[in-house]
Amino acid sequence: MLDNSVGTISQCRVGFITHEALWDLCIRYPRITAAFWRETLIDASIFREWVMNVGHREGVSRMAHVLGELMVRLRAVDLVEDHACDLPITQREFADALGFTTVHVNRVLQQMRAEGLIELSGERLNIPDWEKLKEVGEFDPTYLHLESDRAAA
Amino acid sequence: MTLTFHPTRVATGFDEEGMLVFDEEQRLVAVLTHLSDRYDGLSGHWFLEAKFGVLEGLGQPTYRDLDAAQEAIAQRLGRRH
Repeated sequence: MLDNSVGTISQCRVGFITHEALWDLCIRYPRITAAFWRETLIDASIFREWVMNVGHREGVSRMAHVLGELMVRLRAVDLVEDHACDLPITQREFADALGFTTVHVNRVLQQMRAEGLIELSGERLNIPDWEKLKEVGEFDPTYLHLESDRAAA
Repeated sequence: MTLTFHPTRVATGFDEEGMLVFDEEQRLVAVLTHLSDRYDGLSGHWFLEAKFGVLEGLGQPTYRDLDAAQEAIAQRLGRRH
């Protein structure tokens, strides 16, 4: 039974695979089983990091951590140029994800702009000083288990 | 429940105007910030910047004016009596 829902913030194509077909695949191809297992371990690692982030880090640090994660994950699928990417996420959506009010999101983003941590132009995000952002967000990408900036197998 | 408001400035990082909110026994129950023109659709509204234990459960809403803030805070306090 599914205990959660999944939403997208942009247009997506979604494929559905039945449980029977997945079971069959896993029984016949142990390497695929291992890949799924690894995927669940990485999921758990990401959730641990998010509990830490949302529960312990404040304002700018919490946002910096999430933007760091976004940048690294988008880079893994080749959607980052230098340190710039699209950011089609509204302040309301950030508030929902981070446990902030939209007022806080607004202030945090303004403060980050003023401190030179981010540059926002329309829906384009640029990180002018990647090392500084990582430091402010206490961001260490190890928990994402992406090796050499490539997506996990 | 009649609340009293005392104007103050709030050091949100943007130097905004605000109100200290006291209950009938002159206990500080909340701090409201009058959102400046930096907040797009929320500018001019009153944000529940800080609240104390008796207002737990109220969340951190914004109110369109002080009357609305007064009503919501008084109602929440009234539930405790």
